[in-house]
Amino acid sequence: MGQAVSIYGLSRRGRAPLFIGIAILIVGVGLFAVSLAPTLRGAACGVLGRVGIDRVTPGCAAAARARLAIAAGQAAVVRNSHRAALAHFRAAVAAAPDSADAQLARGETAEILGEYGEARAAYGRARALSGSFEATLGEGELAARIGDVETAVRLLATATPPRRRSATFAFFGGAATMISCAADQWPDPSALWRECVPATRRAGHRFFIASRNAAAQIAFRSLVEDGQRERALAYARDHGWLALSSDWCGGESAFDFETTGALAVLAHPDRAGCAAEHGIRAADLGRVRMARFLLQHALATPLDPSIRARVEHTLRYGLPEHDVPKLAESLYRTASRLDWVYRQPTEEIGVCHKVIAADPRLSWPYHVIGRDHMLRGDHRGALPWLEKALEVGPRDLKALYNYAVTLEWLDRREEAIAAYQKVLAVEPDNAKVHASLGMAFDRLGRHDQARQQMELALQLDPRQREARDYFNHQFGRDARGGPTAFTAR
Amino acid sequence: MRSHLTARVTAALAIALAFVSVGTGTAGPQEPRPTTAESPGALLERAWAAYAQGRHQEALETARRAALATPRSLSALLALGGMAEFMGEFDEAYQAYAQAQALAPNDNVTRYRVASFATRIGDYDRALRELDAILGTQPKSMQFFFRWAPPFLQKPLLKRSPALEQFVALQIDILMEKGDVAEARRLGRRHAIVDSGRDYCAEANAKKTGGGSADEVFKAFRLAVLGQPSAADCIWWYGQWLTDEGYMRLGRLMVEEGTRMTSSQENKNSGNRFVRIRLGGPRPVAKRAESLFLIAKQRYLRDGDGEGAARLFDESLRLSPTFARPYSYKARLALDDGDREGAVRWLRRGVEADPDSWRTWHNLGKVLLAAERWDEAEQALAKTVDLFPDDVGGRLALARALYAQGKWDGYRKQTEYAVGFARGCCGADVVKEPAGFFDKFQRWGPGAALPPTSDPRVILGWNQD
Repeated sequence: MGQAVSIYGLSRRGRAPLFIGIAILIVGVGLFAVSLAPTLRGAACGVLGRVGIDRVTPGCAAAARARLAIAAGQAAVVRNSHRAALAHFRAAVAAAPDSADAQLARGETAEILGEYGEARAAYGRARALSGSFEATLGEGELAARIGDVETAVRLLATATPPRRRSATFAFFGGAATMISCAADQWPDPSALWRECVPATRRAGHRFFIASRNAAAQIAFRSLVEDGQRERALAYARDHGWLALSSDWCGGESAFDFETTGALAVLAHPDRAGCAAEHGIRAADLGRVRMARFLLQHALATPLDPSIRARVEHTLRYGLPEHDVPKLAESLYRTASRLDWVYRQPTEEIGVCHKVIAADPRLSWPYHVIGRDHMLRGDHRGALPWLEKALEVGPRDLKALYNYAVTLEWLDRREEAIAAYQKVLAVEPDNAKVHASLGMAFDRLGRHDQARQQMELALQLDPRQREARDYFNHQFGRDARGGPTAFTAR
Repeated sequence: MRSHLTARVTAALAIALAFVSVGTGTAGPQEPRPTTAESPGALLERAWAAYAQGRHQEALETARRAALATPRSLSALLALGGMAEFMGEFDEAYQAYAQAQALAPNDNVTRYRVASFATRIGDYDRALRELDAILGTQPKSMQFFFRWAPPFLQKPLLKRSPALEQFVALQIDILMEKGDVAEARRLGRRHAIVDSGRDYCAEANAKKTGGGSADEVFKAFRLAVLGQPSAADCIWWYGQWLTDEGYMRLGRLMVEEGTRMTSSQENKNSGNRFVRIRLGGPRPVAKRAESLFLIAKQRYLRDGDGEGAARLFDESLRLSPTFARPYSYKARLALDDGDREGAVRWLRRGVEADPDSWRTWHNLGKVLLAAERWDEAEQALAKTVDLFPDDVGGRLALARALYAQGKWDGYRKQTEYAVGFARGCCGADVVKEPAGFFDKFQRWGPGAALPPTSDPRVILGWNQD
């Protein structure tokens, strides 16, 4: 009976025919797999992979190696080691050039690391192999990043996510809204119905629209940034966006802030001022072209004087004076993401060098490299980079501020003070710079001037930390802010 | 999108707390928008603007005018009360709050502000009653939740609402100042401010050595006090910190608690000495006097308002004549006026009021030293180091007085001790100049110049004044 139910119970002689049979089966399936088209072969190997015999099946071994390499790459991504992940994905592509998954993974990782050429080739191959939404979106978005507007528009026109995916996206978006709302309204069941249900419905709808139009927004922004204003407007009209809202200047928008701002400018040119905040935000994020488009149009309309001043300041000091090539702008954003999102300063610096190659007149990458030296305590190494940043971008106030800080570290305090004062000449309301100048005066023993700057800093921003710490150190904690030591803090 | 709790308590508290922290304007619904420069609304706005920019005296005066112009305006009365409280004008604050409460007895903002003021003047029971009254205005379900929900539900509630967190924090602080540390700890656990079994003391020490901001470190030690009743060192450290800042009452309570909890007899002796020579020993300070002192100090140092500060120091001394610290500031004010003899008189009065006040002796010795009254300075500084042998600044000052009188052995002994101690605790640079002078003295003997002195901040708890 034992022999009938378990192969482990078979005698040595009885096992041999079984192994031979399995080998013949694997070879047969393998030959069949080899004869299939790449897509079908991928599926067949996938099935064999599920039962763990793809590695020993002819025709599927390469796919198995690719599968393992992809898994290793994904693990490296989880560990935030994108360079190692890219090596794994390259190995996966070498093992199975027809694997759309491997190509897509390679494309995404190469893009994160600023290897745009490799990323574009990989996305293109993935799209040719699978025609998937992700591959098309990746290739189209990358084309937009390097300034190939026509390719971007052509590809992104075909990149619509499956409806089910958008529905799922909408469901989770709505659910998050419901949870957040319910956490506030739970003591009042009627408010759950009155407030939360409509909010959830609206949020779900917004998320659905955003998902359906994710690719189209990229194409639209490309057209706007490329100066093709009429075509962009027609594009928005064709996609039915102008019908989505009668007022892009107010209310809830399903789209990101840049698309919303651009739609406001194009749909209501006489009220383009409402896009001013979007433009300032875009400038903060290094989106030079979009920021310039939004801010210049905003400036052409009546604006509140304080907003007008901010717009003018941003145009003059927050953006480079020259037209930055799209490639340089995109690489700079990639470098920023490597710093802020992935915390990979070494990779960030590598991409900054590419930015310099793409546009040597842009001060930002020099500043970033200088700042990196500063963060590592290498102030002597930082100085030439900051000097270069100021040489190509004399209006780069962030570089000027860090230049002053570096001079202070190098004990060139008088020069540091002069640099801080230059920043303040442009931004007299910058509390942080007043505080830094105050500290510089204090270190030089010019205590009255130090105190004066610190007082100014606190008047401008009562929470300014350096100034508060300065006074707390000098005079003890100000106990007047609260009735107890803890509440006064 | 706000619950009953956040809509009522939190919003009200947020407004009240915004006042005490940054002073943003809070024109109430009954207050129409200003139309003319001298309208009450405009005055109130000007008062808030001056307050936010640190022109506190001007802010108070403007708030007075606003309240005078509209005596039935709640926002004007609360502004006046808050600013008067901030400036230590407690009688005026009391009047304004009383009028506000008569005008709107059920207003939670007013209640919170009254609770806050009552805490400042030591009327803790009143403060707790007002806080209870605020909670009493909430729906029963919310009260039940707030009082009895398990900590894992309380934690997210408090995290979502900083105002509510501060509400609980104030309750805890009041209980601690009342001396009911056990109840404060119970409240802390109930609202998940602290969890049992967590080593808060180690976390606080890690923050201290890891370069956390002063406020972060302070808060971490407070959590250690609440969450770890057996962490004697941390409790003691918190007490010394509070002492430096001028919170004599809570500082004493914490140092005494730390001393009680420590198992080392040496530490117990040290704690008892700290209470005796830094916290007034058997001469406790009235809460109102303490609050006036704290405010006066800031009016003097930050605002440069010597006159207003002097008045508050005098009031503080009237309430607690044996409270030594205001005497030192009265002496500083006299020195600012160029009246060195007046300063000496104030400091002598200080050591008469509290003969064990180490810091007052220290300051007296330094003033006498500056006046080159070597013999008197020697006596005062000898008393100083006798009370607190690790006083580096006191020893260096004593060494100078001895040097000036040609007492070389005494100079050598005091300087060696001070330099050795300072190097051991805080590094070679702390007493660089006196040490350099001492090296030359050892090599070549005495010279014409007097040894330099410095008064480095070496140990928390012994620094201010």
